[in-house]
Amino acid sequence: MAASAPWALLAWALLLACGPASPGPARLGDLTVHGPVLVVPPGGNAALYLSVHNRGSEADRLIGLESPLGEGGWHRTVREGGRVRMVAAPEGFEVPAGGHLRLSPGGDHGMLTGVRGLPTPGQRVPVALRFARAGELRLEAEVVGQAAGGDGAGYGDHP
Amino acid sequence: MTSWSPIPVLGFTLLAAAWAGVGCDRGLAGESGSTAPEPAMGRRRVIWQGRVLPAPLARPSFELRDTDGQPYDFAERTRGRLTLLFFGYTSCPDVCPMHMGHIAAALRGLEAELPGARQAIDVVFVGIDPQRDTPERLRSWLDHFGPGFVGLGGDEAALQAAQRAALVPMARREPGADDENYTVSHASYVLLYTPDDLAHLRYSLDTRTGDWLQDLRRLVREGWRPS
Repeated sequence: MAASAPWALLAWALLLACGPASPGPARLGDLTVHGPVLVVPPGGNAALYLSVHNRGSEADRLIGLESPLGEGGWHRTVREGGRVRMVAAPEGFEVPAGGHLRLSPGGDHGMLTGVRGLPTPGQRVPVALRFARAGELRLEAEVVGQAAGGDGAGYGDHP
Repeated sequence: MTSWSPIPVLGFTLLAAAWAGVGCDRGLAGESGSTAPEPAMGRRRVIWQGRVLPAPLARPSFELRDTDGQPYDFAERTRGRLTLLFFGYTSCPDVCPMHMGHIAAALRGLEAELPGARQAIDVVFVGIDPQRDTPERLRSWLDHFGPGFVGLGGDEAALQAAQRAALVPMARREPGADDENYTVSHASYVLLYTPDDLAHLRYSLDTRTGDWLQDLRRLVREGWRPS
């Protein structure tokens, strides 16, 4: 027993010292944020996609978005027959109790306006999300240049 | 007790199978295109990922300016060619990059599978926001996704004429935001014209790279045919 203690300590130290190679899901209380990505075409307007899982028994609300890259806001993409319209959603989006919020292309999404320059795909951009109950969660969104996934997988398409 | 002799049983079975086969064939030949999904019956069924239009749309005739500032007659330039047509705008953060990104990825995949196939396809993006969709901005926006996308623009009247010709919902500037950050509503789908100068297929916001690749591959190799 005494002989194995130093090895156990070493193992813990290594675990704590070594961060993940790429950021894993970001957690805050009952909330887990998966796969934040930013699509930044030229033109000054970027779209943020991600999914949030709420394992708690009370709903929360994603209400704030900040980033050094641009001015944050929420939008819904609304389909009306063959027409598509983008509508501002300043009230943000509900994260249902025991459920998911999905921000994905063609649907609800975050938007950064006034983006100057063009970050390169693979670059990580700091983003701060504010939830009504859980508070603020800072994470990094990965910049993607093109549509993700060869055969169908889109952004924000997480379980 | 007599048992069944194997030869008549085999003969009967073969006859029954042949008869069923003939009947089955006749049934298929009588079918018109249906929208209900049915199991593939050999090589006669084609399942398109795009939505098959109940009545095909003629390749529209309209003239706008390309990103070099030159006149571009859409019908004349794309006649007889596989052509994707989409009406969007460069300040659109979600839908327009999504469509163009998936199309670009599918075309890369297609070119890898069928070298030279890319040359047979025109991708035409009409910028329906003349205030912000300058030729320079259209060009850099399209080049971000991939090479060789045609960007077209014009004044309000020319853009309206183009949308009317293509029979798509007219773009509308949405009320609310200021003069820099306004949004524009527009047709959500991409139209695809085949070499017969008709659009049999259109592609909604749910279309992904794999869907495009599947249909474009079939269109390049075999051409259009109804489901």
